[in-house]
Amino acid sequence: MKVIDSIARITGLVAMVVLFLMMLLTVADVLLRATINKPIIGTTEITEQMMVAVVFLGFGWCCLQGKHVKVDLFVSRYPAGTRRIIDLIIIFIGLVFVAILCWQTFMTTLTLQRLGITASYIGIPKYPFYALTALGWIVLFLAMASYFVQKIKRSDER
Amino acid sequence: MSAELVGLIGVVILVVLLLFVRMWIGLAMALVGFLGILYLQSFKQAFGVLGTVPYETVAYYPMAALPLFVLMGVIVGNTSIGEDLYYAAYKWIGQLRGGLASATVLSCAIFAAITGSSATGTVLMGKVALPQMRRYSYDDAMATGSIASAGTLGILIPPSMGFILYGILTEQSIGKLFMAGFLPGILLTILFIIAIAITTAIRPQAGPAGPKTSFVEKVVSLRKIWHVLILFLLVLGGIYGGIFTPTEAGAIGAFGAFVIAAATRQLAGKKIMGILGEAGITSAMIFFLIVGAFIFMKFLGLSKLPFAVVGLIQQLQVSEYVIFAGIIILYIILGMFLEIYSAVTFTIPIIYPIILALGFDPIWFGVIIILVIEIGLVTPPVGMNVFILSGMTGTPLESIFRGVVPFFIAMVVCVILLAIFPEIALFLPQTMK
Repeated sequence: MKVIDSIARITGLVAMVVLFLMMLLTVADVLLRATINKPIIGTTEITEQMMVAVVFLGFGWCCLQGKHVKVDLFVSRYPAGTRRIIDLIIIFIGLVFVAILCWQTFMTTLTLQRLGITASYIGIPKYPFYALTALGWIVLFLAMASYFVQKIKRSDER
Repeated sequence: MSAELVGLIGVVILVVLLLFVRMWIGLAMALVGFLGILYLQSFKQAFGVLGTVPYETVAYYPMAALPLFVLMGVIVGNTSIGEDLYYAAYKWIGQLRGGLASATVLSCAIFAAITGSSATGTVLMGKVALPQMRRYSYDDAMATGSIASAGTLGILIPPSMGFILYGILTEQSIGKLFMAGFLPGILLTILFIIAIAITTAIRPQAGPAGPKTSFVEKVVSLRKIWHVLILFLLVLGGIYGGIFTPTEAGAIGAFGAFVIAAATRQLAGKKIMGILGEAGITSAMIFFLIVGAFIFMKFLGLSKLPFAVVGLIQQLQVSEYVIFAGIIILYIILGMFLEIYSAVTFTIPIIYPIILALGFDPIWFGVIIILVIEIGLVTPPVGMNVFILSGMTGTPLESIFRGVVPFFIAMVVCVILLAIFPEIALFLPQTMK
């Protein structure tokens, strides 16, 4: 499980760094546009692709930190045993679903690569960023799997 | 089975998944959306949506405003900016009756102008303002009630995560929504201060006056907060003047906050990682909801359920304001169970078409929704801000809820004023470039 922890942490770290760079890029673009009237060409497209890293690489980490939003209101009042079984079933369904998401994103990646589709204007190929999306789903899958295994092992936690 | 019925069943299943088995909200929306498309269309369509919608939703320029404003808020929350704001407000109006509570409201309002969430202000004032109010023997209900309520200004006064999310989901201009929240934010701030004045006029022991301060002290207190005002003017002035897009404003705001934090020596290396980490996790959390919502919206669109609901409502022949009141009540109830991001993402796909069909202004309605969600944040059974504050300070929930009552009335008055005079919200967006 430690391996999964490190993977999610590293991808989360990459997401953070890209967020920081995205901020710098936009600030630089605005400053250059305002001062010497020469914006950085393609800032919009580059920002869009950076968003893919910021968002999808953070999913797994967010899961490990238990930060994905859910409604505890009723479930927290169920008996512990019931709660555990429900949680296990729900995580299992989630695992299957995220696996499908990942598989489909990967299939789209292959199609885009074959067709050579690019993000408009400055011609960045799209498929590497689809691949990044798929990677994000893989890390989320691993993080959920790790949580699932922990939940089976330990019955006492909420 | 008609498509509309499938849509309705989908909504019911979603509610069950959310409330009774606590599935992640984003995941539940995506799953129900996927199964619905599978049923209404084909395997190929449904799988295609899963393979393309998440990427296409995220890799869209206006979306970048969200993580950038989150980052800005997290940086500001990790510096002493909020504390400095409180002490400045305290020096200026603390010596009035109920003045420390009013100072809390005022500093939360200014703090809201550089942050976008409601929890940030509440957590901060719980640490800074509550000890002061206890020192001057405020009653606990007044002290905690004012803090929990003032925190909610964070999502009304721009920048606001609530408006960004609403803008993304409804394809309305985030810049216009920000401007629409500005005057209502000032109005609500004033109404809060009036609520404090009335409460302390009836029961002076609820909020005794704080210490007197000299004029020199007042002026000196401003020295620490001028950069906040510049940051605020830069970010919102830029949007209002049409100089930046909201995404650019977010980047400049975050960068400006970094510069202020660095210039006041509050930015050690370790802290930067903590800040980026918090911003990263919060962004991931919100985007997980957004991705789920977009898959769910694809399904609802196919089911034509929103149109059916609109048709039904038009047949009812009741005044649009009755429907409007119904929607408000629905949101107040939802706000009791869900925090803001979930409440907005979960309901907009269904409610928004109704609002458009009734002929309400979508920008104005955005402001109303945010106000109503603010009410939900401080009312039982699950007022999020009250929970956070109670958890932090150990004050019993009942006593905070009791303290919130005057502020609750102020919020309701604000909603009514906005319903009567939509211009309060719409004046600035109409005049912006």
